[in-house]
Amino acid sequence: MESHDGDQRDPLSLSAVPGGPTSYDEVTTSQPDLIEGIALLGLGLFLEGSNLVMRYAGLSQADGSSSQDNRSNISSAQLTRHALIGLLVESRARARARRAAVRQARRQFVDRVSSAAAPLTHRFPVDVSLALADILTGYGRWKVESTVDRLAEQGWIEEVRARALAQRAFDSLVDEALAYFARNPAVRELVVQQSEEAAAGALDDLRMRAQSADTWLTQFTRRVLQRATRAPGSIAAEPDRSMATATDKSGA
Amino acid sequence: MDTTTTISKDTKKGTKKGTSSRDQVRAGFASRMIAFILDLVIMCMILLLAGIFVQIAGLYFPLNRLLAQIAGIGAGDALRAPVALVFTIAVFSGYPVFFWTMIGQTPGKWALGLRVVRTGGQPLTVWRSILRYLAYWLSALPLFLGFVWIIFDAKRQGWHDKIADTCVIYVTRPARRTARLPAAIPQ
Repeated sequence: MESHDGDQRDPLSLSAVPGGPTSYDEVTTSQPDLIEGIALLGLGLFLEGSNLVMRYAGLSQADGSSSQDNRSNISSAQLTRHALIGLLVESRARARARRAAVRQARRQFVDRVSSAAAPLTHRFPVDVSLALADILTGYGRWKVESTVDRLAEQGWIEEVRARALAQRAFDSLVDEALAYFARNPAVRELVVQQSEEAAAGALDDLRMRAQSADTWLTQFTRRVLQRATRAPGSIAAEPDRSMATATDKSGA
Repeated sequence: MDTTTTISKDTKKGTKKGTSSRDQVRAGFASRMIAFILDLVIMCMILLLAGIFVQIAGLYFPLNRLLAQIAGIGAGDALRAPVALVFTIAVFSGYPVFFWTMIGQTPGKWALGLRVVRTGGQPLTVWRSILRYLAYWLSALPLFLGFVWIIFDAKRQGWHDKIADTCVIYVTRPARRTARLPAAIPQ
């Protein structure tokens, strides 16, 4: 699950956001994670329960002819559920990463402001500094919320969700098409027949090549033996009639 | 059906019709070697599966430990060597003898379109198959010279063929089946 790789092009990257709240502590930052975890658990349980309900409802309405369709519906529902959970977890992780970036930017900003305003702080009252920090914090929050709202209005989240669902739906469609072809007896017969044809063709080709190799080897041996017998001082031997007959037959 | 009669009839038919008479030609070294390699691969697979089966059966019936306690030897070596030896001998000798006797061709020879027959064309009996298998060893002992002899022999016979009075011939090639498409795909 990606967390930081999209920060360069992500409009929610708040490294340029000037400042944030200075009163955050570890308790307030860890509390949302717990809440998110509980929410995720609840959502997962809800989706699992809904899936079980859909499964039992589909099975109770199933008859002998439509059992395959119910099975495919259940698998599609499971795919949709997985896509939703994946989308939700990914968006939560992105938000968590952005919040960490906000915290880091805020610390840097506060440090810079503090160091730059150190000579002047003794001349101004503390209330003014706190008021300035509140203003900056409010600006940061407003910036984040407006960016999220703008992205939601632009349909970014919907686009991501649609892409994820479309991919799952396409996979499901391909599976269903393959299952249809596998169930079809004519297609199955055609596949079996073509496989048998291919296997028989390969065997025939192997036999032909082996027989050609036999012929070549026999002819080669005969030539070598004839050369050996035609050596100087020896009588040329007549080629074996039976061997020649076999060679001619095999070469036919 | 008598194989001799079949071969002679086929020869006459081939002569009359002008078709190829390659079916009665004896197979050469290359075809037989490829067939033998295929048979070796099949036999090794059979041995592998048999070894796995025996290992699993040994887990269910721990005769290995029982024999180890009785004989006082290592539990891992008590039965492994003799069982492996018995299985190896059974597979390497029973495989060719069984197929030569039953159908005249091992699976490797079937793939290459070969068949083992007697020189007169009769199928092999059990004892002649055993004799041919034992003659395999005689052909293999002098650096496989008995097998290489097929190349130089005018009748394309190895030593084991000569001892058992057998030969390997090309079987009639099956006609290529034409593609038969189904009538229609139901919607």
